Amino acid sequence: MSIRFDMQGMVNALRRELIEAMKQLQQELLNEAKQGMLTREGAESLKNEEIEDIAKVITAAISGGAWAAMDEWGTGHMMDTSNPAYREYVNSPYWNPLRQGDNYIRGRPKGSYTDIFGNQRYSSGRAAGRIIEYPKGPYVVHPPSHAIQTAARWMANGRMQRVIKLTLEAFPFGNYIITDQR
Amino acid sequence: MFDPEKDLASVQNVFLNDTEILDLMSLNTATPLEKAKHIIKRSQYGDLSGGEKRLCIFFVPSRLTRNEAFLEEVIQVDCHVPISQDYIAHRIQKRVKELLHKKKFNNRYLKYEGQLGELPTANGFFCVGSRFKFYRVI
Repeated sequence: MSIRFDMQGMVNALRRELIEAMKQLQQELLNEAKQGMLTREGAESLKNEEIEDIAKVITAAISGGAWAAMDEWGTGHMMDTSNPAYREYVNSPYWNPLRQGDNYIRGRPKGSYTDIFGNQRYSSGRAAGRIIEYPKGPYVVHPPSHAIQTAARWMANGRMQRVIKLTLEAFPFGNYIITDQR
Repeated sequence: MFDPEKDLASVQNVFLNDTEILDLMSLNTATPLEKAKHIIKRSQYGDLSGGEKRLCIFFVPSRLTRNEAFLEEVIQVDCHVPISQDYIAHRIQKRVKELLHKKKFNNRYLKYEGQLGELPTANGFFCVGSRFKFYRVI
């Protein structure tokens, strides 16, 4: 009689189970982040990324476009400048060079420019340098929601560990023990 | 039974009738309507102003369990106070946990699921929140 353990079969099956668990966590993260967003556009721009399994590391991510970034970090003078991408944004072609110091949204200089969504636009320059945030102008600004960061913090606060623990507890390790009578 | 409105209302009623919570929120002499304006069943903080204190009771998205007949439901209680009174928020959270943990609401027991430290709120305010979970048969 012999007893064997199908290591490779177990690893493959466990990997599939862990990917399912990661999908569940990813969906929970997305749901919570959407709930915490202050704007409808920000919530709508969030989405799940494909689960990646590269070099034996399973990665589940969510992502969002410019609307989500503005919701997460705030807009205009209420923007949170601790955003790690803030410097890059300020030094990018999307930034209005007339916004200086206080971050208030101001009119652009005359000429064409690229907005935060990557669209080519044209400014007449009539409001160049002037604050155009509400009530002085049409742009209503809002504080940062930090919705994604907060959702990720809640997830890391025991929830991820619990889902992975339950996955491991329910995994049928015994199915991979093979015995025969020889 | 699925009745989220009743779930939240049963939690809200406990806070509305607890003298310690009302004292901490400076609502002990307030009218029932005033109390209900400060202990609300949704997450809303963008309009906070002055010295207002607010308790927000709301659901976060349901979670799947390994048994498809059950869903894990989570109620979050956030407390927003003026930033200079951060200690009041912690005292309120302490009382919230005492009132909800292992207590029966709308026929289900709530279990404390932890806090996260400081949470986003309006400028000039301070917020902490706790979560409580229960299981619902679908």
